[in-house]
Amino acid sequence: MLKKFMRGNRKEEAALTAMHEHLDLLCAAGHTLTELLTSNAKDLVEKIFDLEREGDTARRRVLSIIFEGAFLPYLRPNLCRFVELVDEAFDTVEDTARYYDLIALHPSITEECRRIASFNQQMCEILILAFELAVRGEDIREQVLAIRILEKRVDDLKGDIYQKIHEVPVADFWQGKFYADFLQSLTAFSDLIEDASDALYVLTVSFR
Amino acid sequence: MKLEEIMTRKLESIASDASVYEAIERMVDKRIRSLLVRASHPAELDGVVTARDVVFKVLAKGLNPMKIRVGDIACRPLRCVPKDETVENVAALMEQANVARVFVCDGGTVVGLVALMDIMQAALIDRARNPHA
Repeated sequence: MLKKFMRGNRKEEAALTAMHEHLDLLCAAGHTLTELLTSNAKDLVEKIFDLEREGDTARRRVLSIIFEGAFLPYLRPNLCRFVELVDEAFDTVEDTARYYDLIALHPSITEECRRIASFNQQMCEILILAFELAVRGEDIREQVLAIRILEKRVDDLKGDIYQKIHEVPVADFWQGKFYADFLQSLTAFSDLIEDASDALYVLTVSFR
Repeated sequence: MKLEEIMTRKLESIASDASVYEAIERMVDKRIRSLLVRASHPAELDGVVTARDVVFKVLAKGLNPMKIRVGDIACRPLRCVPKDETVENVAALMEQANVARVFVCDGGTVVGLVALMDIMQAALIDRARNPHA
Protein backbone atom coordinates (compact mmCIF):
# COMPACT_ATOMS: atom_id res chain seq x y z
CA MET A 1 0.00 0.00 0.00
CA LEU A 2 2.85 2.35 0.75
CA LYS A 3 4.01 1.73 -2.79
CA LYS A 4 0.62 2.95 -4.04
CA PHE A 5 1.54 6.35 -2.65
CA MET A 6 4.82 6.54 -4.48
CA ARG A 7 4.95 9.23 -7.10
CA GLY A 8 6.80 7.37 -9.76
CA ASN A 9 10.34 8.04 -8.68
CA ARG A 10 12.81 5.89 -6.84
CA LYS A 11 12.96 7.96 -3.65
CA GLU A 12 10.09 6.10 -1.98
CA GLU A 13 11.63 2.77 -2.89
CA ALA A 14 14.93 3.87 -1.36
CA ALA A 15 13.21 5.14 1.80
CA LEU A 16 11.33 1.87 2.27
CA THR A 17 14.51 -0.14 1.75
CA ALA A 18 16.34 1.98 4.33
CA MET A 19 13.44 1.63 6.77
CA HIS A 20 13.55 -2.14 6.37
CA GLU A 21 17.28 -2.08 6.93
CA HIS A 22 16.75 0.00 10.08
CA LEU A 23 14.28 -2.58 11.38
CA ASP A 24 16.58 -5.48 10.47
CA LEU A 25 19.40 -3.86 12.44
CA LEU A 26 17.08 -3.35 15.43
CA CYS A 27 16.11 -7.00 15.28
CA ALA A 28 19.77 -8.04 15.10
CA ALA A 29 20.51 -5.88 18.14
CA GLY A 30 17.55 -7.41 20.01
CA HIS A 31 18.79 -10.89 19.15
CA THR A 32 22.30 -10.01 20.33
CA LEU A 33 20.89 -8.66 23.60
CA THR A 34 19.02 -11.91 24.23
CA GLU A 35 22.27 -13.77 23.53
CA LEU A 36 24.15 -11.45 25.87
CA LEU A 37 21.73 -12.04 28.72
CA THR A 38 21.79 -15.78 28.13
CA SER A 39 25.51 -16.34 27.61
CA ASN A 40 26.86 -13.39 29.60
CA ALA A 41 29.49 -12.98 26.85
CA LYS A 42 30.29 -9.32 27.49
CA ASP A 43 32.02 -8.88 24.11
CA LEU A 44 28.49 -8.80 22.66
CA VAL A 45 28.02 -5.37 24.26
CA GLU A 46 30.38 -3.87 21.67
CA LYS A 47 28.49 -5.64 18.90
CA ILE A 48 25.26 -3.99 20.07
CA PHE A 49 26.98 -0.57 20.11
CA ASP A 50 28.13 -1.15 16.52
CA LEU A 51 24.64 -2.16 15.44
CA GLU A 52 23.22 0.96 17.07
CA ARG A 53 25.68 3.15 15.14
CA GLU A 54 24.67 1.42 11.91
CA GLY A 55 21.04 1.94 12.91
CA ASP A 56 21.67 5.66 13.35
CA THR A 57 23.11 5.82 9.86
CA ALA A 58 20.06 4.01 8.46
CA ARG A 59 17.72 6.39 10.31
CA ARG A 60 19.53 9.46 8.96
CA ARG A 61 19.33 8.01 5.47
CA VAL A 62 15.57 7.40 5.76
CA LEU A 63 14.91 10.89 7.11
CA SER A 64 17.04 12.61 4.50
CA ILE A 65 15.31 10.72 1.69
CA ILE A 66 11.92 11.70 3.12
CA PHE A 67 13.00 15.36 3.46
CA GLU A 68 14.27 15.27 -0.11
CA GLY A 69 10.66 14.71 -1.12
CA ALA A 70 9.83 11.04 -0.87
CA PHE A 71 6.12 10.31 -0.28
CA LEU A 72 3.21 12.70 -0.29
CA PRO A 73 3.60 15.50 2.30
CA TYR A 74 0.69 14.35 4.50
CA LEU A 75 2.35 10.95 4.98
CA ARG A 76 5.73 12.29 5.99
CA PRO A 77 5.06 13.17 9.67
CA ASN A 78 3.69 9.70 10.44
CA LEU A 79 6.49 7.99 8.57
CA CYS A 80 9.06 10.08 10.46
CA ARG A 81 7.31 9.29 13.75
CA PHE A 82 7.52 5.56 12.98
CA VAL A 83 11.23 5.85 12.19
CA GLU A 84 11.90 7.88 15.35
CA LEU A 85 10.07 5.35 17.54
CA VAL A 86 12.12 2.51 16.04
CA ASP A 87 15.23 4.55 16.72
CA GLU A 88 14.21 5.20 20.34
CA ALA A 89 13.74 1.45 20.74
CA PHE A 90 17.25 1.04 19.34
CA ASP A 91 18.58 3.44 21.98
CA THR A 92 16.97 1.39 24.75
CA VAL A 93 18.71 -1.77 23.48
CA GLU A 94 22.01 0.09 23.55
CA ASP A 95 21.32 1.43 27.07
CA THR A 96 20.30 -2.02 28.30
CA ALA A 97 23.58 -3.49 27.04
CA ARG A 98 25.57 -0.59 28.53
CA TYR A 99 24.02 -0.97 31.99
CA TYR A 100 24.19 -4.75 31.86
CA ASP A 101 27.93 -4.39 31.39
CA LEU A 102 28.08 -2.39 34.63
CA ILE A 103 26.06 -4.68 36.87
CA ALA A 104 26.10 -8.31 37.95
CA LEU A 105 22.59 -9.55 37.32
CA HIS A 106 21.16 -11.13 40.46
CA PRO A 107 20.00 -14.78 40.02
CA SER A 108 16.57 -14.00 41.49
CA ILE A 109 15.64 -11.82 38.50
CA THR A 110 17.84 -13.31 35.76
CA GLU A 111 15.13 -15.56 34.32
CA GLU A 112 12.60 -12.72 34.11
CA CYS A 113 15.14 -10.45 32.38
CA ARG A 114 15.97 -13.15 29.83
CA ARG A 115 12.31 -13.73 29.13
CA ILE A 116 11.75 -10.00 28.63
CA ALA A 117 14.66 -9.88 26.18
CA SER A 118 13.18 -12.84 24.33
CA PHE A 119 9.71 -11.21 24.17
CA ASN A 120 11.33 -7.97 22.96
CA GLN A 121 13.00 -9.91 20.18
CA GLN A 122 9.73 -11.58 19.18
CA MET A 123 7.99 -8.19 19.12
CA CYS A 124 10.68 -6.86 16.86
CA GLU A 125 10.33 -9.79 14.45
CA ILE A 126 6.57 -9.24 14.32
CA LEU A 127 7.08 -5.50 13.70
CA ILE A 128 9.25 -6.29 10.66
CA LEU A 129 6.57 -8.63 9.40
CA ALA A 130 3.92 -5.93 9.95
CA PHE A 131 6.07 -3.44 8.02
CA GLU A 132 6.44 -5.86 5.11
CA LEU A 133 2.69 -6.51 5.06
CA ALA A 134 1.93 -2.77 5.25
CA VAL A 135 4.22 -2.11 2.28
CA ARG A 136 2.32 -4.76 0.32
CA GLY A 137 -1.00 -3.22 1.35
CA GLU A 138 -2.10 -6.07 3.57
CA ASP A 139 -3.89 -5.80 6.91
CA ILE A 140 -1.59 -5.66 9.96
CA ARG A 141 -4.29 -5.92 12.61
CA GLU A 142 -3.18 -9.37 13.76
CA GLN A 143 0.44 -8.28 14.09
CA VAL A 144 -0.56 -5.21 16.11
CA LEU A 145 -2.61 -7.41 18.46
CA ALA A 146 0.24 -9.92 18.86
CA ILE A 147 2.60 -7.07 19.75
CA ARG A 148 0.09 -5.81 22.30
CA ILE A 149 -0.18 -9.29 23.88
CA LEU A 150 3.60 -9.56 24.14
CA GLU A 151 3.83 -6.07 25.61
CA LYS A 152 1.37 -7.07 28.29
CA ARG A 153 3.55 -10.08 29.11
CA VAL A 154 6.59 -7.85 29.44
CA ASP A 155 4.55 -5.61 31.76
CA ASP A 156 3.62 -8.62 33.91
CA LEU A 157 7.26 -9.68 34.13
CA LYS A 158 8.21 -6.11 35.02
CA GLY A 159 5.74 -6.29 37.90
CA ASP A 160 7.27 -9.59 39.04
CA ILE A 161 10.76 -8.08 38.96
CA TYR A 162 9.68 -5.02 40.94
CA GLN A 163 8.23 -7.29 43.61
CA LYS A 164 11.57 -9.04 43.97
CA ILE A 165 13.93 -6.14 43.41
CA HIS A 166 14.16 -5.14 47.05
CA GLU A 167 15.84 -8.51 47.74
CA VAL A 168 18.68 -7.66 45.36
CA PRO A 169 21.66 -6.36 47.29
CA VAL A 170 23.37 -3.27 45.91
CA ALA A 171 26.82 -2.13 46.98
CA ASP A 172 26.38 1.63 46.59
CA PHE A 173 24.26 4.36 45.00
CA TRP A 174 25.73 3.93 41.53
CA GLN A 175 25.25 0.17 41.56
CA GLY A 176 21.59 0.74 42.44
CA LYS A 177 21.21 3.41 39.78
CA PHE A 178 22.70 1.21 37.07
CA TYR A 179 20.40 -1.60 38.14
CA ALA A 180 17.35 0.66 37.96
CA ASP A 181 18.46 2.08 34.60
CA PHE A 182 19.09 -1.41 33.25
CA LEU A 183 15.57 -2.54 34.18
CA GLN A 184 14.05 0.71 32.93
CA SER A 185 15.62 0.40 29.48
CA LEU A 186 14.98 -3.36 29.22
CA THR A 187 11.29 -2.85 29.84
CA ALA A 188 10.90 0.40 27.86
CA PHE A 189 11.68 -1.37 24.58
CA SER A 190 8.31 -3.14 24.42
CA ASP A 191 6.39 0.13 24.93
CA LEU A 192 8.24 1.74 22.05
CA ILE A 193 7.67 -1.22 19.73
CA GLU A 194 4.00 -1.13 20.64
CA ASP A 195 3.91 2.60 19.84
CA ALA A 196 5.73 1.97 16.56
CA SER A 197 3.24 -0.73 15.58
CA ASP A 198 0.37 1.64 16.41
CA ALA A 199 1.98 4.36 14.28
CA LEU A 200 2.32 1.88 11.42
CA TYR A 201 -1.31 0.85 11.84
CA VAL A 202 -2.40 4.49 11.69
CA LEU A 203 -0.44 4.83 8.45
CA THR A 204 -2.13 1.79 6.92
CA VAL A 205 -5.56 3.03 8.03
CA SER A 206 -4.92 6.43 6.45
CA PHE A 207 -4.32 4.68 3.11
CA ARG A 208 -7.80 3.14 3.02
CA MET B 1 5.40 -22.32 20.44
CA LYS B 2 6.70 -24.05 23.56
CA LEU B 3 4.54 -24.44 26.64
CA GLU B 4 7.34 -22.97 28.71
CA GLU B 5 7.05 -19.70 26.80
CA ILE B 6 3.37 -19.20 27.49
CA MET B 7 2.87 -20.63 30.96
CA THR B 8 2.43 -18.55 34.09
CA ARG B 9 5.31 -19.30 36.42
CA LYS B 10 4.09 -17.34 39.38
CA LEU B 11 1.71 -19.69 41.12
CA GLU B 12 -0.50 -18.66 43.98
CA SER B 13 -1.14 -21.44 46.43
CA ILE B 14 -3.02 -22.01 49.65
CA ALA B 15 -2.86 -24.75 52.27
CA SER B 16 -5.72 -27.22 52.13
CA ASP B 17 -6.51 -26.53 55.81
CA ALA B 18 -7.21 -22.85 55.09
CA SER B 19 -10.84 -21.76 54.88
CA VAL B 20 -12.66 -21.09 51.64
CA TYR B 21 -12.99 -17.48 52.81
CA GLU B 22 -9.19 -17.15 52.90
CA ALA B 23 -9.09 -18.53 49.37
CA ILE B 24 -11.68 -15.96 48.28
CA GLU B 25 -9.62 -13.18 49.89
CA ARG B 26 -6.51 -14.34 48.07
CA MET B 27 -8.29 -14.55 44.70
CA VAL B 28 -9.78 -11.08 45.13
CA ASP B 29 -6.46 -9.56 46.26
CA LYS B 30 -4.47 -11.08 43.41
CA ARG B 31 -7.25 -10.79 40.84
CA ILE B 32 -6.99 -14.43 39.88
CA ARG B 33 -9.55 -17.15 39.37
CA SER B 34 -7.80 -20.19 40.79
CA LEU B 35 -5.39 -21.28 43.49
CA LEU B 36 -3.17 -24.29 43.82
CA VAL B 37 -4.23 -26.12 46.97
CA ARG B 38 -1.21 -27.59 48.74
CA ALA B 39 -1.96 -30.70 50.77
CA SER B 40 -1.67 -30.06 54.52
CA HIS B 41 -1.67 -33.77 55.35
CA PRO B 42 0.36 -36.64 53.89
CA ALA B 43 -2.80 -38.55 52.99
CA GLU B 44 -4.09 -35.67 50.88
CA LEU B 45 -3.17 -34.78 47.30
CA ASP B 46 -2.51 -31.32 45.91
CA GLY B 47 -5.49 -29.87 44.10
CA VAL B 48 -6.89 -26.74 42.55
CA VAL B 49 -9.72 -24.50 43.65
CA THR B 50 -11.38 -22.11 41.24
CA ALA B 51 -13.91 -19.32 41.55
CA ARG B 52 -16.35 -21.76 39.99
CA ASP B 53 -15.84 -24.22 42.88
CA VAL B 54 -16.29 -21.44 45.42
CA VAL B 55 -19.53 -20.24 43.85
CA PHE B 56 -21.15 -23.58 43.00
CA LYS B 57 -20.01 -25.64 45.98
CA VAL B 58 -20.23 -23.03 48.75
CA LEU B 59 -21.80 -19.63 48.06
CA ALA B 60 -24.68 -20.73 45.86
CA LYS B 61 -25.60 -23.37 48.44
CA GLY B 62 -25.73 -20.80 51.20
CA LEU B 63 -22.86 -22.41 53.11
CA ASN B 64 -20.50 -20.37 55.30
CA PRO B 65 -17.13 -20.02 53.50
CA MET B 66 -15.39 -19.42 56.83
CA LYS B 67 -16.36 -22.85 58.09
CA ILE B 68 -15.36 -24.92 55.09
CA ARG B 69 -11.81 -26.11 54.40
CA VAL B 70 -10.59 -25.19 50.96
CA GLY B 71 -9.24 -28.75 50.72
CA ASP B 72 -12.81 -30.03 50.90
CA ILE B 73 -13.92 -28.30 47.73
CA ALA B 74 -10.66 -28.53 45.74
CA CYS B 75 -10.56 -30.57 42.53
CA ARG B 76 -8.11 -33.46 42.55
CA PRO B 77 -5.91 -34.77 41.16
CA LEU B 78 -4.13 -31.90 39.44
CA ARG B 79 -4.17 -32.14 35.68
CA CYS B 80 -0.48 -32.01 34.86
CA VAL B 81 1.30 -31.84 31.52
CA PRO B 82 5.05 -32.03 30.91
CA LYS B 83 6.71 -28.74 30.04
CA ASP B 84 7.78 -29.99 26.60
CA GLU B 85 4.16 -30.73 25.62
CA THR B 86 2.87 -28.91 22.56
CA VAL B 87 0.30 -26.14 22.86
CA GLU B 88 -2.01 -28.05 20.46
CA ASN B 89 -2.00 -31.15 22.66
CA VAL B 90 -2.68 -29.10 25.76
CA ALA B 91 -5.61 -27.39 24.04
CA ALA B 92 -6.98 -30.82 23.03
CA LEU B 93 -6.60 -32.08 26.61
CA MET B 94 -8.41 -29.04 27.99
CA GLU B 95 -11.26 -29.52 25.54
CA GLN B 96 -11.50 -33.24 26.30
CA ALA B 97 -11.46 -32.71 30.08
CA ASN B 98 -13.57 -29.55 29.87
CA VAL B 99 -11.14 -27.61 32.07
CA ALA B 100 -9.90 -24.04 31.73
CA ARG B 101 -6.40 -24.62 33.10
CA VAL B 102 -3.75 -27.31 33.44
CA PHE B 103 -0.60 -27.37 35.50
CA VAL B 104 2.83 -27.76 34.00
CA CYS B 105 4.91 -30.26 35.93
CA ASP B 106 8.57 -31.14 35.87
CA GLY B 107 9.50 -34.34 37.67
CA GLY B 108 6.55 -34.23 40.03
CA THR B 109 6.95 -30.53 40.82
CA VAL B 110 4.42 -27.99 39.59
CA VAL B 111 6.39 -25.32 37.68
CA GLY B 112 3.65 -23.43 35.92
CA LEU B 113 0.05 -23.01 34.89
CA VAL B 114 -1.48 -22.74 31.45
CA ALA B 115 -4.94 -21.26 31.15
CA LEU B 116 -7.24 -20.94 28.15
CA MET B 117 -6.28 -17.27 27.82
CA ASP B 118 -2.61 -18.27 27.47
CA ILE B 119 -3.53 -20.75 24.73
CA MET B 120 -5.61 -18.13 22.94
CA GLN B 121 -2.81 -15.57 23.10
CA ALA B 122 -0.24 -18.14 21.90
CA ALA B 123 -2.48 -18.96 18.93
CA LEU B 124 -2.87 -15.26 18.10
CA ILE B 125 0.88 -14.68 18.23
CA ASP B 126 1.38 -17.72 16.02
CA ARG B 127 -1.14 -16.42 13.49
CA ALA B 128 0.56 -13.02 13.46
CA ARG B 129 3.92 -14.61 12.81
CA ASN B 130 2.61 -16.79 9.98
CA PRO B 131 0.10 -14.53 8.21
CA HIS B 132 -0.25 -16.66 5.08
CA ALA B 133 -0.19 -20.07 6.73
